[in-house]
Amino acid sequence: MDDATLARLGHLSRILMQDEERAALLQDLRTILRFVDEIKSVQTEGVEPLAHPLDTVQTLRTDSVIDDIEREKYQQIASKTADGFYVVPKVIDP
Amino acid sequence: MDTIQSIQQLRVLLDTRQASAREITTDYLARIRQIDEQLNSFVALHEDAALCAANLADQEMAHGRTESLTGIPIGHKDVFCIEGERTSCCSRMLESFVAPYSATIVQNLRDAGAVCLGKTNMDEFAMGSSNETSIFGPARNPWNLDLVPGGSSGGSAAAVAACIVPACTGSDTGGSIRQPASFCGVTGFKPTYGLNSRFGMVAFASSLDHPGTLTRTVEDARVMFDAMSGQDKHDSTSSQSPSSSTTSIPTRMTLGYPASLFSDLPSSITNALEAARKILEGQGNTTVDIDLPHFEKAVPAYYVISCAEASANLARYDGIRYGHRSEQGSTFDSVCEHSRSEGFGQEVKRRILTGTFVLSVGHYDAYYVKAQKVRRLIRDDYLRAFENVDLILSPASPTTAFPLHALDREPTEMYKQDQFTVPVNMAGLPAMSIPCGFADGMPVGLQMIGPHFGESRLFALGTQFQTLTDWHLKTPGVLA
Repeated sequence: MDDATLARLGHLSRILMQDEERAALLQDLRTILRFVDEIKSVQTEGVEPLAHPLDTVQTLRTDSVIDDIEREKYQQIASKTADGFYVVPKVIDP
Repeated sequence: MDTIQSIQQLRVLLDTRQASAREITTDYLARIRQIDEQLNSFVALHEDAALCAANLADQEMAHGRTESLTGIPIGHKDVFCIEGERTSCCSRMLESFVAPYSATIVQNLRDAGAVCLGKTNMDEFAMGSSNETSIFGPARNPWNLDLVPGGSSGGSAAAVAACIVPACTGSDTGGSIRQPASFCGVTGFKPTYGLNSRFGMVAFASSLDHPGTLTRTVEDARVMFDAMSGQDKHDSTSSQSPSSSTTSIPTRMTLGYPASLFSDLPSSITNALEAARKILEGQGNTTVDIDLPHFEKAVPAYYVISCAEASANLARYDGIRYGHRSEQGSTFDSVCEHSRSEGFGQEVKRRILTGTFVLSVGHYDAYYVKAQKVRRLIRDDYLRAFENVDLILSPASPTTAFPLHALDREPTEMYKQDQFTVPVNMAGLPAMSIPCGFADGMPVGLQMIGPHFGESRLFALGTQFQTLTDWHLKTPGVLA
């Protein structure tokens, strides 16, 4: 874990870091990675990864049309909306 | 009214008309106002809604319509959405977020008649073991206000311990119900993964998140579980298995006791554990040594998986659709970056960055896939153990409550707090922490772990223990 890797992680996760915060996070992440590196010593050859503790499959709903889109209600919790759309800074230059 | 009140005691008061739901609700709200300034266990009180719900409960009971929790006050951890109320997760990111819908367990408890008094304090986004990462400041341990209540469900545990609410909901991703229950001397319970719906619970690590409860007694935990649980069409990981709290149980149980894991613990913890073991053996239960060979790798594997899932789950907070939106930034990306940087606290950022790292190209197999393989080994250790035992015993935590700020600069030391609880979440097993004694004046929790869908055994053994002991009846001096 070095400055460049941390900068890349910050970009990927959309988290900005000031210099002082960056230094503290770098140290913390090094400590955390040393700690989680302990799993590398476990013999896992032939072991299948486990994503769900009960080995079950996700239950799917019936694929049917429902009419419960409450746009107004759910947009009330957004900070900026207009005419049923979310307002964001301009993405495409003319 | 007496200070100590379980749900069962309140049920008797209500059913025999010795007190109305309104009187009980008013009394608990007064207790909160009187005591909680010291504890900081509640982050929001819903007084008007609570009194309305209590009035409704009184009307229902007058018409002979009494459900299991009609008129019983409860608190909800601030991780659960309640329609029309702020659900902040104790984060700046959601400080102004008013939920547009209610969590399934919130609705289920409301349908069972429970009266919600308000929302309880927690670590930000349920990431922590001390309740210190809350933007509302830490909740404090009612047994000693200089110590933490544990976390992340610290507010719920402190409030139940201080008898300012008889029961609270909590969530447990790596021990966030059982460790604070242990630190505060209350009963903390989480069922098998999937039995309590996660719909409307702010997601941290979806394959590990378990809603559950903090109560004064095991019987109260059973009553809450029966009301909360059930398959939910809104949660695709909700279990199709029926609620198992009423299935048959052995009269004398064989209890796994992995003694080799306890050798480094302080003697004050192991003494309490040994005393609890003897009490259970005295009732005809047998304890046998068991081996959990991958136990020590559970916490590091957990931090890979939980951080990976957290980084994915928390990617939704873009500042655009809901949550904190920064005033800074002139492009879409920079608004998003500023919003997230301002909205998330340090521990949340640490975990998002760690999760992003273990999922990134070049590290995915070495960390994420590897941790998932270790997860299978951990789960299989338990499955093998449960071929020969009915339940497993351990402490809930390696220590009693520690001082505020003691582990501020020691993230991995904080993570190790959860060494006895994390493996249980990795395997999705039901488990419970119940008070089993004191060490240096602070409560110690006995953890009981069951096989998948073995909730009934936990309730039976826990109730047996609480019939023989009075640790769960002790109350802290903050009430004096």
